[in-house]
Amino acid sequence: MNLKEWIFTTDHKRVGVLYLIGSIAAFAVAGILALLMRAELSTVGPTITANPTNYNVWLYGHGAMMILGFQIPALTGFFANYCIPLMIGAKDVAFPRVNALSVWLFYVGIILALLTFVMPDPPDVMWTGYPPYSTITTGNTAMYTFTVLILGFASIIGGVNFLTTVAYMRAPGLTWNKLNIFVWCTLGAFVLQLIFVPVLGTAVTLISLDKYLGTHFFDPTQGGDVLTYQNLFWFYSHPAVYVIFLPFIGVIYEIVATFSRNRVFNYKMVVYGGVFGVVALSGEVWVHHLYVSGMADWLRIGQMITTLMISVPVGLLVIGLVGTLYKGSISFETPMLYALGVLFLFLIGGLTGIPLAVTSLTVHLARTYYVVGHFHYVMAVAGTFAIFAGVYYWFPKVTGRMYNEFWGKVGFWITFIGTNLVFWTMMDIGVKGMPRRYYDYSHFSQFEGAHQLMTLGAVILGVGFVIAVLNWIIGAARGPKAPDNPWNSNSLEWSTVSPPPHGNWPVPPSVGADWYPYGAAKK
Amino acid sequence: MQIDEPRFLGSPVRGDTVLTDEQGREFQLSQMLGKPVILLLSYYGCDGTCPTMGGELARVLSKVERFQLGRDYRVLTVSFDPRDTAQTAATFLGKTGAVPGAMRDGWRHVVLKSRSPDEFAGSLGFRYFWSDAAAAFMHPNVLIFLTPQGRVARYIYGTRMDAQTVQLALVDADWERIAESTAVFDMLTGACFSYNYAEGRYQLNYSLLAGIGSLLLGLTLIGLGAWVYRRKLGRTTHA
Amino acid sequence: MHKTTKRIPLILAGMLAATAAWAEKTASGSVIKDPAAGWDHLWREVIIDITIIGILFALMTAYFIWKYRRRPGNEVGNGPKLSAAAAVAWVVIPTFVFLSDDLYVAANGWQLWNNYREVPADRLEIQLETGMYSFDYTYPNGVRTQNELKVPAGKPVLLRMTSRDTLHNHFIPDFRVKEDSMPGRVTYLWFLPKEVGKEHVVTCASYCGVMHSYMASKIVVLAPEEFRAWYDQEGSKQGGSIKTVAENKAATASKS
Repeated sequence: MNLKEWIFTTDHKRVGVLYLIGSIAAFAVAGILALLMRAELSTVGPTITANPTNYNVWLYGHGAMMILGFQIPALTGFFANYCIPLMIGAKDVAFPRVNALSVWLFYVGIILALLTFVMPDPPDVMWTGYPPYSTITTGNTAMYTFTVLILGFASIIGGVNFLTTVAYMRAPGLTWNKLNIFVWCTLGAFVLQLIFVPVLGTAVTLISLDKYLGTHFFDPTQGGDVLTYQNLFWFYSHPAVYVIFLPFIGVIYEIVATFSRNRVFNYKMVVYGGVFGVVALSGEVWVHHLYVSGMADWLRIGQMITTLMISVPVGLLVIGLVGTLYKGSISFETPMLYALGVLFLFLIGGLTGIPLAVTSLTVHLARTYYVVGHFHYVMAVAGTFAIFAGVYYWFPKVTGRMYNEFWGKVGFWITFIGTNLVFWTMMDIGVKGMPRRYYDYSHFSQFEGAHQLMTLGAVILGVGFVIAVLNWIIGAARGPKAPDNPWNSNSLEWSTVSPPPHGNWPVPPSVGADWYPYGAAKK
Repeated sequence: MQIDEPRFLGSPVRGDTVLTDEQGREFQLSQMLGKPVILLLSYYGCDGTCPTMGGELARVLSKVERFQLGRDYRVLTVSFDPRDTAQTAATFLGKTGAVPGAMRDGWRHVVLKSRSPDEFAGSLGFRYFWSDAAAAFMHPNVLIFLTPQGRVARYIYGTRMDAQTVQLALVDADWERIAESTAVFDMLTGACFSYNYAEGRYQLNYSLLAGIGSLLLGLTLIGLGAWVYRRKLGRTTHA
Repeated sequence: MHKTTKRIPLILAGMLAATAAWAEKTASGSVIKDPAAGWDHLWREVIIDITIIGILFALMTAYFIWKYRRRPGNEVGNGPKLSAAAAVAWVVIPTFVFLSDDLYVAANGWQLWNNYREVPADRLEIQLETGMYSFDYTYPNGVRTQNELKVPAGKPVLLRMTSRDTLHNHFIPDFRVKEDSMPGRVTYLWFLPKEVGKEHVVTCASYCGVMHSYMASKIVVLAPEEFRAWYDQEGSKQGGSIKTVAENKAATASKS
């Protein structure tokens, strides 16, 4: 097992693991940035840096790295790569070399993003990069553009690859209606990526053209329009939330079904109502990010209704999840703890999103800590918990070894407590008016205590994550040997040895008419 | 003479301003509102650009097919010369003959009755002065587009106009009406063009078009993929 | 579970009997629907709504987790295999439950939104230009102030906003209102100052650069007479070019 073999690998499992390592690295960096920000905010006025630009760069780095460097690659890079071919009984993906190219591009992208911290004039445009600021700042907007373009391109070729793989390479007998929920969810996410990433690519390219080549796409004095950027950006970036949400809820479905030893409640409702509904509606709700941006009134009020309607497919997905617990036989190993944690975090995050769908309530809530708290619950920590759940769940398959159950559970509880400490407080002071993206809250000094509580929570959260990652590293190196199917799952990825060899199965599997990926394995 | 646009865009006209038109009818400005209004500030003793502006506007409006004068919008020529009366307005109209009779229903030439010209013009950022040397008023040549609520939506400068600019400015002025489904076409036109303040004209909203283009690219990719899959699937089932 | 959720909109609709409870009369007798009070009202309604839904789901999940934990005698899951009709019902019924709640929330949100956007005719209209990093106000009589807005109590204030450089946002937490300002477009917001002598924090809520967090202003609410005195005095002090006191009076009383 040498390094060269890993770098030039075309095996989907190794590509997946490379994705995981890269995205966990991005997660670590983004997490450190979060801690730096929390440290800065622990007192009113300057705390650890006297230069607001430093804080703004951390904020930019935290958002961009978490979303583009950690969540999307971990979910659609690692999980999709590792699990999809195994779940559909394929030897590999349809285009293994393209797959290798996409992971290289991903590494180029996160290296670019990391360069942010060593270059002069790093980008300070937030992960949204709104003009006119992004076109007049001294910060390096081009860096932002290139990072987005490269990661976007990596994601697109990944999408083409997986859609093809699932379409053509399923095991004999594995019909569309027997696919794992995770596979369906990830397909939905890739469809969204393919449709919407080009729009984001165009938008971020145009701001760099404006800044460096003197065009006027977003300069109103010369016929450009400031609002068009915001529309194009959110036209991608709201669906991007579902690019994260769908795979993570897919992971949770796998885990909940396995640890309940139960069939998925109303499979067709989950797939055709939940997944398809989210995909269909996701492109029609972006204006809720622009409720206070000066759009025409009729547009804002129109998208309030579509935004509220997205609660229907999302609600169906939650019903399916809770229904899967019903009459199950539930055990509580670490992956299941994380999965149930996601269920609760997502419940809080999803419901606190309802006020944000209402145009008139958003007039006060927009751009405050309430929004930040909400999207951390619903997407950021729920997604991260799901990624941790998934890594724990497939850990025996990936490494052939077991992690430490005790430290896994300890890690979960610490993170869970830290999360709620930080983000509940955040929503609370947000409702009271604390605006986001503030280096110094000197005219909101009444929130100092709350900020200190959040800083404490962030440290606790960080400790929990470190415990989990250490648990993986130690488990991968020295853990006891794992059986091939430790969770007693019926799904195809557990039917091969752990870790699976190149080609996955000596003889490619086929499934019978009464086979189903969920429920207790037939002995 | 340039208007300070950032300051005056969006400012309201006073609806209770009383006006007298060329036929001597007295009415409040608010009666003209409810539809977009093109406001042309002039004076009737003018033998320079004012008749030209009026004539040019009439020529251009006859080419605007999307909207109909009177039904969809109105035009108001307002004199800022305190010496003007309903009489001089009528004389001006008769003399220049620039405004065709068919247009006169929706296009009135008025003098201010209840408010001083300084105050009325000032509230729109329109400045002018009397030049003894030229024996004429010096003033900007500008069309002021008002929303149905009577707020300034757009200033369009120049004595040469074109129908497309006027039409787009009317769409801009009536943006809220677009909530009605019949106006989808106007909504699309309004979104596809954006106003260039430096050049005083409308141009394509290139960034939006680029965005739509890339969306179409994405949809085509997906569509093509689905089509290829269906074709291949068909072939395998036949075989 | 879905039967209970279905009733929530009805229960809440009952609580909402007096929908426009926050509407109040001004001195001049016209009814002003203050969006800030309306916001607090709707916020409470929605919070009750989502809390009930959240607790129902959470309790049910917790109950399932406990009831169906793995133990001797419950080694294998035995989830129901739904008939076709039941499967369809499990899509249709929750869809209608969610949609009815959505529509209930949307209808109330819509009503409040109209209050936010329909500005009472009797108002003080102030032009605001934002820039890095200040709020510059211009009163109808030409008085200009920076980072401080004096307003008379009880009179709706309309801000007509534009920006000279980048995006900014005039956020007044106390009045539950904010809106972006940007170059090339005109945006507006309004609020109803009430308490005489109170100062309200105004802050920039759109990221606008290095000093974003220091971009702040305040709204000072004065008694109407006090405001009038300040306004006239300031008008004659600042304005050689601007109008007489009599005209100021007309301008402040303007009804667009």
